[in-house]
Amino acid sequence: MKLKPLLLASVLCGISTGAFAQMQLELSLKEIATGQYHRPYTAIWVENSRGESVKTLALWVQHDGHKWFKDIRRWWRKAGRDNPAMVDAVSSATRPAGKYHLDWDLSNDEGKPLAEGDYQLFIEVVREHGGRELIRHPFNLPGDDFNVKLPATSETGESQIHYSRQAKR
Amino acid sequence: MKRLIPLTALLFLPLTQAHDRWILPTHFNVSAEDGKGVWISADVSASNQVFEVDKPFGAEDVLIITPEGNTDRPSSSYRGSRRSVFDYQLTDEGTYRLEKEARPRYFSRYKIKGQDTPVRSNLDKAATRAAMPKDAVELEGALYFSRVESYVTLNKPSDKAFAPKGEYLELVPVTHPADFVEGDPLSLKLLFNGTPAQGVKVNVVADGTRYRNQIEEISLVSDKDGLVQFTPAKAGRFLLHAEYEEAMKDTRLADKTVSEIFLTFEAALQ
Repeated sequence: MKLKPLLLASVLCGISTGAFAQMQLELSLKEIATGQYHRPYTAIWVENSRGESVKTLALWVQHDGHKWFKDIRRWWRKAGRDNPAMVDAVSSATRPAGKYHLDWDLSNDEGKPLAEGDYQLFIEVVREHGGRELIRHPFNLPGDDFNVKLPATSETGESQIHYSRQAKR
Repeated sequence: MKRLIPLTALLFLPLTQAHDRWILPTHFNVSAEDGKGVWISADVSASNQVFEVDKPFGAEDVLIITPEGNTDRPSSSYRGSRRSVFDYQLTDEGTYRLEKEARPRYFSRYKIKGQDTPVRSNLDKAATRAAMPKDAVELEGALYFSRVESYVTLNKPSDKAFAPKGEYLELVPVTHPADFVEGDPLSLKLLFNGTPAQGVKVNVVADGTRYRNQIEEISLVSDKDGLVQFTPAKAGRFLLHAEYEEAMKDTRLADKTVSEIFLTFEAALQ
């Protein structure tokens, strides 16, 4: 009998947060031949409906890149400057032009499942001697499955977000 | 198997990737009663973004070419951590040229087998060859010459400060800088060693890149008469960068000359 509420809680938890759900992002960084080329600084993160960052999925920066964090303007204001431990944990080297695949289990920066609600996925790409792009895509949890194409920008090629409430096995 | 790299490809690899450098005066056009001088001040800095002060590119060696064609020095200067500043009093009517004293400099680089990144040196090829390890390869050198300049006009514009010296890359305004206006085409002439230079790459960027997503660069190439023409879309301050490369006939000290100009100017409101 003691088991039941626990089980119920876990089932509820599964529904409300989508414990099996996952989001996949395929991001394409564009080949840019003009001018001085430096690999872009890229941040991918999720904000809740109050515009608070809940999860930084990726941060691709130069090894000694702290000086340049402020140039990833929105990500720095929303996520980076408040959470140096998270920054150290997620940051990795800049990536050259190409396609990148990211899997997200819908957990937040602390590894806990996100609550139901409205969210936005952000992709910010900033290049020294180059341009900046801020891409946003709103979504809802638990929400319906979706598959969206993000149109190319000056810094990114055509990219995709895939959301499924039932993870593929 | 060793892959052969064409010499031309080696020649046109950039040897340095330098910051933008600039002199930004507080005023480009000033007016005053006869005989009354006007003080201007100017920032001197080097940065990756237009007019975002970053590195204190010294103001001590700034030269001022007066409307009469004489050479003067700033009244005072200061070197800070992010920028240098100088003051100068304009006393004669006409157009002054503000410039950093420019000297040609050699840069060389070579590779050591098994290492990806080249070794750089601030010496010419001959001196580098003498100093580098025996097994070094792909030695190449360039002679760099950079001008950093701006024009400031007190009352009526004049042309004497435009006089070219006939050395390296030079820029002579065809449209007077005091007449650069938003929406109006302006033209500039580029010279190399005193003769019109075709194929000079010119880029122009408006102030304020920090507050826009795209650089919105104007890119031009000089024609057979050394001319470039463009229209500033909006009033404001601009940084122009002109660059010209030429292979050297005598390659003992360097393979090419790389000559560049940074010009700061203002486009006035209509």
